[in-house]
Amino acid sequence: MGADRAGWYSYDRLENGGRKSSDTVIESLQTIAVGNLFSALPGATDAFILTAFEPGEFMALGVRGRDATGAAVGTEAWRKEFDRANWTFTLSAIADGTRLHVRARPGFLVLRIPVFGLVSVSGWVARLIAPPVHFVMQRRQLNGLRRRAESARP
Amino acid sequence: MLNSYLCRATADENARELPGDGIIRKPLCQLDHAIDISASPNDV
Repeated sequence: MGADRAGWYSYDRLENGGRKSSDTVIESLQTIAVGNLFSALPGATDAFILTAFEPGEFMALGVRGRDATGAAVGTEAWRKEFDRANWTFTLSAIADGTRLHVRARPGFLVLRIPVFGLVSVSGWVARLIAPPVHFVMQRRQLNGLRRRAESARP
Repeated sequence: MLNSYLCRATADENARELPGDGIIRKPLCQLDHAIDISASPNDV
């Protein structure tokens, strides 16, 4: 996953710079480590960062809210820096395959607006706009992941 | 059918704690979605 990796499997024009998300597994991207960058957009370096994972079980991505404290990558102090947003993917075996459950938890919302720069969005506005926007993108991504995983079955 | 189309998470999924939840104790909101995939977890 990631704009500078295999894509987000969602709306590529919006999230992947127009580049089509990969339809095949890219072997060179299968080894990941805590602290790796999964770019939200091509060239982005602030989001998303892999904060924790267990192969075949879960993957947690985060967006740093506080300035880096200098804590070592992977430590609890380092993880606490990611209080702007968390996005966690979990996999559970079910009778006929896998249940993929995804949770997004924004701590606060900041938008980049021309002229004004970074603008903090108040809580009620964020609660109003985040769910429908997230739903559209998330649904597309989940279906994109399902299509690719099921078409790759032997 | 509608739940599947909307990728709705179940009540149990909404309620369970996931890795990373502790970082943001009071999120603006919590958005859960889920989907069934006919492939093994290692293939997803």
